[in-house]
Amino acid sequence: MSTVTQMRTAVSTRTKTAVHLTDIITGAFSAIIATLGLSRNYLDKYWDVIERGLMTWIDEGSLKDVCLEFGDPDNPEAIFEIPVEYRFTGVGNVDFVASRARLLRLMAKIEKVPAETSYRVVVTHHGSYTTVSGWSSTNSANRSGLSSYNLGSLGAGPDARASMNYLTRRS
Amino acid sequence: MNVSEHIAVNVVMPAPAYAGHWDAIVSPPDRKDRLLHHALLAWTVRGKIPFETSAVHGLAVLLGPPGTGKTTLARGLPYTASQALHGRRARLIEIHPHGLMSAEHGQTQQAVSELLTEYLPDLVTDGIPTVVLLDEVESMAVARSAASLSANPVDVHRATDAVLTALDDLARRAPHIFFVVTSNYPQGLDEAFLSRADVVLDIGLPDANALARILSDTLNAWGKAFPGMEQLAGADALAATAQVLVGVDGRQARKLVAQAVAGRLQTALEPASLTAADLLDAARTLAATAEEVRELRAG
Amino acid sequence: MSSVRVRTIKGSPERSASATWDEIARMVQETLVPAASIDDDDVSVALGHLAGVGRTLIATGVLADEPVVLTAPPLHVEIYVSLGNDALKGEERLGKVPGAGTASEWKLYVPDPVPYSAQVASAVAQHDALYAGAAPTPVVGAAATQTAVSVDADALRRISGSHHS
Repeated sequence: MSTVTQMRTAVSTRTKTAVHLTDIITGAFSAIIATLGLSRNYLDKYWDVIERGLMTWIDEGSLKDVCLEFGDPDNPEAIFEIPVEYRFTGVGNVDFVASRARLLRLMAKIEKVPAETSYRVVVTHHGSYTTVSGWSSTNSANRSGLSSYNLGSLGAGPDARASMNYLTRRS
Repeated sequence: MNVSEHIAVNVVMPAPAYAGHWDAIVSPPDRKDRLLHHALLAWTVRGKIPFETSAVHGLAVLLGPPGTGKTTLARGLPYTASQALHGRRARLIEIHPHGLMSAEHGQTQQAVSELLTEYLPDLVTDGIPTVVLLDEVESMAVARSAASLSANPVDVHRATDAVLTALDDLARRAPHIFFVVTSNYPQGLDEAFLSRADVVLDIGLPDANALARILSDTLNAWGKAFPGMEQLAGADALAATAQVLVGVDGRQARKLVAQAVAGRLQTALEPASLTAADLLDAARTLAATAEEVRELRAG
Repeated sequence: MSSVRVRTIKGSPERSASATWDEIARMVQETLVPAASIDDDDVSVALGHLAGVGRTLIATGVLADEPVVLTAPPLHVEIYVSLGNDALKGEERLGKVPGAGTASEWKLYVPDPVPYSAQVASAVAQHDALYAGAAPTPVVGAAATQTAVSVDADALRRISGSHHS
């Protein structure tokens, strides 16, 4: 296979990985918000913006992690942190996996938050990244006092994978 | 893709345009009878006996070289069948498989399935006995033997799967549909497809008697436009002309009259001046040409 | 008697949850267009109420196992979404599903498994044609009215006799 064809296949797979992980992440956020019984207004309002941002940044490899932060950023109730790790596999394995069912089982164990708790999506990048409309600069929520629990893998594509950490005040 | 574009004809008989199709094809009587009887049986029996017991799919396969009248016979079947039904109605639907098979890569199986199992049944919800003609079906029911795999893309084989599934499905759900498929290339037809046929009829080349009847019928038709020509239809020399033509198909035999008329200036100006000798000369030329073509193909 | 159709739309990694929902909405709208007594704008409004929860049900994998079901008698359409490696295989048929031309009413059933039940209930409450949960099982029967077909024996004898003489 020629180099040009290899590059084309890799780019195409990279984009598919970005779409795959984006859906896994928005799905995880949806599952969390539904489990906590919170309003989906924010999610509905910003779904397109979130999707565009995640797909763009995962595709270019600039997304470090994306977080779903609950409550006051200075004193958050909980944070769900999704780091993204990148790998280049090139031509070959084109497996796309997800752990949606396992995530749902894990959701049963998360701490409830007060009914009207606000939430927001915050991303951090590796170095430079493409500007995506709808996103504005902010600081990540304060993590002091939170305990972190690794919830394992959310899913993976040939070029990247995502896992989840649950930060909570529960000890 | 809009699968409805592949329905070329959808007409309820009796429609005058189809009145002459059945009789225009001269073939051994038992062939036409069997085709007609199978259609009538499929429409009547399948409502009374479960498919799992009867195994009647409602499928007839007509095989034979080009020009032997397979398509014309299939088009004439619903008109003739309508005359043998108390309701005096039957429908003809023609599907052109070639357009379906040239669909975008990867869409063929879905297109075939959608057309046969969804769109087609929706056209016949009135329950009128229907003949569905699939002409030159070898593109759609490709033999899936190892020998053909190298020559045919995977999605064409998926199309064959879709056809088989559709036949089984419609046999149960739509007992008023009778499929007639034609093929010039029986070696290319999938075995599972042929196994589902209620009847496989070889519509072969006409013999001398059939050729004489074809010539007679054609001359009578010309005689309506050019009075006097019909006298050649009953001429004793016609049998000799027919004998010379053995080996040509029925379509070519019909064309012979036009070829004979075009053979001389006098006959071209006055077709009624055609003689038995003109016909015989034209037949010899036609037969020789047909033989040359066969030799070239064989070589 | 219902005509049952099944469609599977490819989700990620072929298309995002938003794009997949757009295809579902388009399929429903185009399928109902031929039904003269169903208001296209009303269908559009109803689907708009479902966009948010629809994207969620796609991204969370619910529609991989349980379909959105459109009933517009005699048509019954089950719409699934394939994900992951499944979305890379096979073909898909998008757009209009034939068979709703004679429909005079329509309903859309949206799966509502835990923990999405409340969200789905809230969305479907906004329009009369929207329902939560599984659709009623369709009654599948013959593809046509059962019209008895009978042969005119005398006519058949005449037809057979005409080419045997």
